[in-house]
Amino acid sequence: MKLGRVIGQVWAVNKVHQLKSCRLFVVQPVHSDGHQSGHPLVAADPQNMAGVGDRVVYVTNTDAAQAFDTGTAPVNAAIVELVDFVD
Amino acid sequence: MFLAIIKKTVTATEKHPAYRNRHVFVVQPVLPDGKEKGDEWVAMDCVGAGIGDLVVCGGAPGVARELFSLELAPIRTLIVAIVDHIDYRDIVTEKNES
Amino acid sequence: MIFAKVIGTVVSTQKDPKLTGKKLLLCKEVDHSGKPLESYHVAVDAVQAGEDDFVLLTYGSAARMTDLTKDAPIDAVIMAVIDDVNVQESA
Repeated sequence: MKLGRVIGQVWAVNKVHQLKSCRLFVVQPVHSDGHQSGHPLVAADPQNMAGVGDRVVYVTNTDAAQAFDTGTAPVNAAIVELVDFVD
Repeated sequence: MFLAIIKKTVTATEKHPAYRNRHVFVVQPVLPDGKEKGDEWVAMDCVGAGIGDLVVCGGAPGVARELFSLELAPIRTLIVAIVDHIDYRDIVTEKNES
Repeated sequence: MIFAKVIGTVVSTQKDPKLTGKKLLLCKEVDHSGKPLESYHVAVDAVQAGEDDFVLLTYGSAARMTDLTKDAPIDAVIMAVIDDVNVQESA
């Protein structure tokens, strides 16, 4: 799991059915102190909790599909927590 | 997946059981125009490819295990298609999209 | 997932049986603004994408998690055609 900030949204009407009710965001990985680390990536938001500007926790690789209720989805990253604060 | 040219055959007598009776080749990744790019890989054939063929290679953890119905399959890169031809138009210039 | 632009079609008659009927598209990786990057990918099309489309591509074992690509020997799938991307660089 990693910390990131949602910096944008990807709009796509035509997508696979597993992602129909799920938004897609551009997430910039950040350190806990707020500094950017690395390149932005695209993450799905299966629980529909994030918005642009939010700080989130996301998972990558094989764990990302586990964020969906069905346990399967063709995604490489998924948002799993909306962060209130880190201290 | 990536495009590659089959360069050489790998022959071995001692092999992991998962590799028995299967062909293994040295493949060189290429760009769509045929130019070689990057380091060569070793790939297992599952389509009857041969030396000189332009092929599509790919694979991910678990793919070979399911494909060959094996319990243990320490196989990563597979040759999954032989390319007849590619219709494409490359993009090289920066596009100014709003 | 990565952003990509569809630049062509890979035609193959001799392929793994599990790839029969699936379209293989040649894609070039781009950034979120559509600017071309270096790498090329061959991906299975799960959403009827077409040439010049701006798409999202999923790679690795997650690529087999669409109905179309289940159990197929592939590691890249186009799972969305992008209409628009809004990014606030300073956010």
